[in-house]
Amino acid sequence: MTLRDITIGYGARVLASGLCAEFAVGTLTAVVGRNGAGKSTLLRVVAGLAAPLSGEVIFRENGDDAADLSRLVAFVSTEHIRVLGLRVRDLVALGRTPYTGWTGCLGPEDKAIVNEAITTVGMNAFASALVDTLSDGEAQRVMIARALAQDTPVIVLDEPTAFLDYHARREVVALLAELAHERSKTIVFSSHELDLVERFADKKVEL
Amino acid sequence: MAGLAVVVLFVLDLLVGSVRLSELGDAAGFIVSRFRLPKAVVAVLAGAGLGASGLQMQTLFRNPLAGPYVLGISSGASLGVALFLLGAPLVGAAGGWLHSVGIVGAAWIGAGAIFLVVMVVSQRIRDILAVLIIGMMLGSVAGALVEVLQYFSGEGALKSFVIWTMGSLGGVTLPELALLGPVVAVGLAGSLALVKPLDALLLGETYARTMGIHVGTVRVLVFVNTTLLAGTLTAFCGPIGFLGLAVPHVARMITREATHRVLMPASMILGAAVMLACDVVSSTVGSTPLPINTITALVGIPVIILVVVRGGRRAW
Repeated sequence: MTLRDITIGYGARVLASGLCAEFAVGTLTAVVGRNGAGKSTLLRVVAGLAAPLSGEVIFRENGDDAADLSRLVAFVSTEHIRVLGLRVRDLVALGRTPYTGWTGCLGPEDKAIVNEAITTVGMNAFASALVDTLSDGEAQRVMIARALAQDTPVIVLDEPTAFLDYHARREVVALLAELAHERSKTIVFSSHELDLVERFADKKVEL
Repeated sequence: MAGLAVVVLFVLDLLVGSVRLSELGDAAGFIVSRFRLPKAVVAVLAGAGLGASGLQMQTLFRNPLAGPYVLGISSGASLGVALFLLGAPLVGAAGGWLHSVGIVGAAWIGAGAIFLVVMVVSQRIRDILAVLIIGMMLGSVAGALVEVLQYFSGEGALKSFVIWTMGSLGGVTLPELALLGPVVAVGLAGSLALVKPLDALLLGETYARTMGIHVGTVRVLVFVNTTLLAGTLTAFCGPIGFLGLAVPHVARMITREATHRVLMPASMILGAAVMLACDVVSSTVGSTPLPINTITALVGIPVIILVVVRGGRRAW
């Protein structure tokens, strides 16, 4: 994935301009910078949620991107998700949305992918638990499992360690590094945890 | 099992009424086919439609306390009908077949207008209780406007409006059912078609968009469905309170699921069963039927209080 000459900002206010970066397959990249520097905005641009003021995000060299962004990049937000009566397995299964038919029913292959995603983040024991009974760290793992189930080469996470205690923060960043290296994912996340970034990230983008 | 309950209640609804079937003799067949059968069909349509519209509104507004009645959608429909019934005679509009179509159209416009205002407000205000209060205020404003209209209306127009406000499941005639049935069927089919995007919207707009859902289109479709269902049902049966809010919660409690693939059909079936049960109670308590709105309030409000006490505000 390549960022080519990206400028981000709101209206007339430019937060960052001329951003160029390469994100190689199988690398974990951290976006760091102070609050308001444009970390979230940049990640939203990469995830296709917002348009850059100028420049472009290129996922594949052959230019075959626009077709279906939901199969190229998965997003994990800072928002704390609480839904009445939703189980972990059903939440992770929502990651299959781009692949299922109009009812959203999972086929055998989808179910296998969902189970594997839950296992990968170490939440097997909680698969039937209700999402609103989980701790913040567990909930974040489930949201990462949902992104894995979406089966995209790129995963973008906006401050995945916010609201977590130190242990959970370390575990989440270590999990992201493992996913990048062992599953050959291109993972980009924003963080204020400079020590964890130094230790686990392969690359750092400063805003 | 829920389907069986609907069938049993449907048959029961045909059997009970102000007069026992055994006393009717030869007239029994006529009474059942001309009065009780349409009424039972309307009850099924109304229950299923209100359950489906309540569920969609709860997901769209991410608010467990949303429903067509509490957010003022039904009052908007009433205001539309009042403007038509009390205003149309002033401009000399015709009666007859146009009359029903005019009532339905006016109800759609009224329901749609209030829904639009609530949607715009909920975009700006994230606090779900604030949105509810604004919905209720809009409902009260619509109610007040209806009273102002009544005050200035002539005797004839007023009479036809008062008759409409007393509307009930049994007040729907066969020609009206021919209009109500297809419109509600379209709304129900539209609701079933949206189960997948509604599931994605459980996680909020950001996640839905990154999973390839066109959130704007889904909003418009939910708007159309809800306006069709709540508007049409209010136009023909009068406002029916609290059922749309309560039924999806009972469906959640029974099925222990949160996906619309399960909850949407469950809310429709359960809504139909509850509405039939309410109608059975309404027609058995006395010599004249108890207003349906009274019974749905008594059934629905305890469920809503339970949801609030259980922390509905926190859970979304």
